[in-house]
Amino acid sequence: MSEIKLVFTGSSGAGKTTAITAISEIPVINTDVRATDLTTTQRKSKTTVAMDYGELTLEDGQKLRLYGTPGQQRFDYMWKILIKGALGLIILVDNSGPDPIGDLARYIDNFRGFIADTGAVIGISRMDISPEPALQRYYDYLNERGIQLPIFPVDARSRDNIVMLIHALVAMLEYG
Amino acid sequence: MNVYKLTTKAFEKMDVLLLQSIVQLVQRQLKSTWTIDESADILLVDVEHPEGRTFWETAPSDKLIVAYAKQNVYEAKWYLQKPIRVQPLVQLLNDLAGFRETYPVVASQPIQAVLRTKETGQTSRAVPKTPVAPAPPEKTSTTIYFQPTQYLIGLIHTAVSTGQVIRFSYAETPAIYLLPQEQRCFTTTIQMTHLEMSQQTLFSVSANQIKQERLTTTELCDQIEKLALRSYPVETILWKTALVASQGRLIYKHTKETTVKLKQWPNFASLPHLPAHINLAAFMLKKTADLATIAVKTQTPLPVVIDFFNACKVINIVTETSGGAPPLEKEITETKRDLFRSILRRLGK
Repeated sequence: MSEIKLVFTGSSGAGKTTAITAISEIPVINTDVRATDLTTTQRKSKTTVAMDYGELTLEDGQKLRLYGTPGQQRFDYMWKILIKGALGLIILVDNSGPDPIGDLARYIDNFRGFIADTGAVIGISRMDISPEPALQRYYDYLNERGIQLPIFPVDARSRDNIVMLIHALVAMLEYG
Repeated sequence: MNVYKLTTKAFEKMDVLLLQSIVQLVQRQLKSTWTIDESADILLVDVEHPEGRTFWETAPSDKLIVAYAKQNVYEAKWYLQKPIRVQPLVQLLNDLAGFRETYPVVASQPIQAVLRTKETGQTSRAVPKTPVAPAPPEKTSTTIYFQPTQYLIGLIHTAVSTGQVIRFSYAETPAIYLLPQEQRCFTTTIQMTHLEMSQQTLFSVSANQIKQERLTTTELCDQIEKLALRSYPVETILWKTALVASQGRLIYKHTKETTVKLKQWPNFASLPHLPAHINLAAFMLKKTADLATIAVKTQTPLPVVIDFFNACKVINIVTETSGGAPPLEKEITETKRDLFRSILRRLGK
């Protein structure tokens, strides 16, 4: 079997790097630079340009590779490269951002083909500090689009939360 | 001293011999005399054996059945962990005897008293010292149904409609406080990845046994601070009650032939669940099927599917249709299934 990988995507500051760090068995490799766009600089001082990389070793020695895409739209050419051949996609949405539903829409649109053929799960971060939009808004949005995907609040720092996301993804790949 | 009989179903030969030996050896520690006899109406069933699993799912209602397995996957009320150990077995037999003393005639539904034994030999007894009768079952023709209004669920719905802050309590178990205006409940920590035995009786007893006290908002705040209570959406309590109280009985007015599908993913971040529930949610989110088909396709025991369906129904995230085409088979290679299992094991699932 070719490379086994999961891809984490989402807007800048959604928690992709943090999520991979929470479960990777190696220190996450990333390339951080000073953020340039105003929206990102207001939320974080650095941002991932190329990608994050972490990994887990499975029982038979195979590596499960964990990739985090760059969050900014101008690096979206990297998204197609990273998603190719991936086992599944994890979309993280920052609920404290200016337009979380819009962010989700963008990632669903960009990965629409992959989601239809393979599978994805959605984690909504920072709902504890920013409860709106409420989870029901996301359910309603997915229903309007006729999309059935697992979606639930997560703390990207929590290993348990990220494991639950991956568990849901694996379940969708097997039974969905 | 009373004499009780016990028999086994789908046991390995070694386990039968072990059970017989231990029962003989521990008679002095037992409050009653126990014998192994095929005519017994108390059965230990190896639910990890296919025959035992089938028996469990179709068990006649006049038997008191104990699930025997490495893990209590059925969340059975009577459970003995594999392999058989002396103290857990002694505790089980003494509790069964105590239960039988109170209820000498087996009820018309699977017996619903909670017991769990721990490896350390310390036992946590969720059955209160004053035994209580299980909720009377709803019967339609030959089927026994789960009726949510007969449990904490009914009380919560009533309280929400009145807008009154209520404290629900039962015996020594942690109370649940309802704040209807915010659709929230307050109680001790609820673990999301397994069911807390200390709270199970409040979730499984009938509504008429639950004590209700009206509180002011100030009194509620005092309790929250004093007891360090945690806040949960009311759905968490409704969901958990359905999971615990259903006990493999289908919710009232639903038939096993009706096909079902989830409207949305259950928010497992705030809904207690088992790993099997995640698989069920994945299947039911995408596919429409009846409960028996869901059980087969996800390799999940039917009672677990029923409890999960009931919980989804109670929080209104499931749709039902009559009939419909069977779900399309998803082609997954064994290599891929092994990979999925490997990933979950690596993550500790």
